[in-house]
Amino acid sequence: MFLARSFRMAAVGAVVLTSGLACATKTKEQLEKSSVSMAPEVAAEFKKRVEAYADSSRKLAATLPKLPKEATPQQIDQDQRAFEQLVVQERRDAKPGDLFIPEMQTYVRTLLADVFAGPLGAAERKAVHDESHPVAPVINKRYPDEVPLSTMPPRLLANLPTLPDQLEYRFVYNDLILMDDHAHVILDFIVDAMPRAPIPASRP
Amino acid sequence: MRTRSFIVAVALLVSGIPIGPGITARPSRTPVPVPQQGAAAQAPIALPNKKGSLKFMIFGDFGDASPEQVATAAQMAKTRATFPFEIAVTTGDNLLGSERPQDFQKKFETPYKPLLDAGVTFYATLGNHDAQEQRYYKLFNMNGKLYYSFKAPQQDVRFFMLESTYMDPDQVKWIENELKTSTEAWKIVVMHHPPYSSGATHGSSLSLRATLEPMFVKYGVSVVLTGHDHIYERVKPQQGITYFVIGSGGELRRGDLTKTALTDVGFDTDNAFVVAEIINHTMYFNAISRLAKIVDSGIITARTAPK
Repeated sequence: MFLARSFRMAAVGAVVLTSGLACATKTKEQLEKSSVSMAPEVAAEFKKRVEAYADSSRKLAATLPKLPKEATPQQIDQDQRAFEQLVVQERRDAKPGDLFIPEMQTYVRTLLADVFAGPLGAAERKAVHDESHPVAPVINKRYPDEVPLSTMPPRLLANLPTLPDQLEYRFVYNDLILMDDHAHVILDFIVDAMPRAPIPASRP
Repeated sequence: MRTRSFIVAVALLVSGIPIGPGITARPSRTPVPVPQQGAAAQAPIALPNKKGSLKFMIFGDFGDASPEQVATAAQMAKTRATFPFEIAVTTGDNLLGSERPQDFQKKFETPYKPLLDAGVTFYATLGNHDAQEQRYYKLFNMNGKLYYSFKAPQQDVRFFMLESTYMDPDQVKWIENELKTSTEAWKIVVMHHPPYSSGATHGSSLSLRATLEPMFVKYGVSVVLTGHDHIYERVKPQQGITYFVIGSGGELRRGDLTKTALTDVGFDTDNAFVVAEIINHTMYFNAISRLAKIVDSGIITARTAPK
């Protein structure tokens, strides 16, 4: 599915225009809410796509036996891995950009540049990177069990579009991934969504 | 009514209030100096161990199946023989590394078997190493929830168990509403990431502090229990709230405590856990090392929300 070229340009323009306001002095409320806003058309398209995925995912989950209320670790593990296989099979043709459409990627990069700017942003970047993530995201692959999940700054989550239950944003180093937390499967990602840390002026 | 919140540590022992078998203390109205980093209390406060009190244990960052975890778990069981706590709360990182079914056995059920057999009820929070499926594991009593609250079986106490790796707007709204509507005298928050920590590896989580601290202050939270840094630290009260880092239940980061102005008492030379007892508006606590040394102790008074 492709969006019209003019729509893309309008969407990118909206992001750029609003992000220019981010430089102004911020109140406490503004600190929590970024001035970068998403074009309504982009928001609607992203929402439509993630909800379609969530709907499909719910239908897949309904085909599995219901976990008993007091499930054993074996039953929980079997359920989780069976669901992962169903999701991987269902999305066998998935490719980058299916959910994070290009306009959404532009919005996210602009938003993250705003959120991670300034002293609090630097502290939040440090918190995201406080554990090593020695992996590269791959669509439709399982998030490695032994790699800790990144901690997501509340202020960032307050600014990103709300996701259906069971979907989460996480970071793998600077890449933002969209993940199904039941399937443990990476659904889509944005490479270098988080801007690289500025190089200190004193550095040779 | 605003209750003045303060910590009176070891020096209370020279006072006149009976606070434990054979120990008396004289009333004190002002906070007194407490032991410094790594130092045990000169004469630790004994827990009252009274019938009808809430007795509980706190530990975190433990599930690595290491000899240190096993030895610390054994010390917990020994402690329970004389101080029969009925619940245990975790500050997360309950299973580090692999989380296959056999890992639940060797990283949780086996080390804590004496406590489980004695009927101790565990309540878990999730850390950044924990898979979300842990919420369905019956021995963690999360009832399928990533974040939840529960009323303690004794005394007027409610625990608020947060998922600090993913503090999204839904959870922020939930915790604010829970704190606002709860009427218990004691509101105790438990989560993995510390808003205040002097751990060199991770340190304070400033973004969580910015989001959560205003509501902790507004709605009368008395104590915040955290982990993530693999050390023990009790932070000087911040806006009347006492913050603990209890993250050395398994792998210890020896020497990771960089003492700062925040540190009231810290301990990073051995594993540790905390046992506590609440009687009415008073909480007594002991931080105990793997080798049974009391490395910190004190008294905290419940605070109420400012009017």
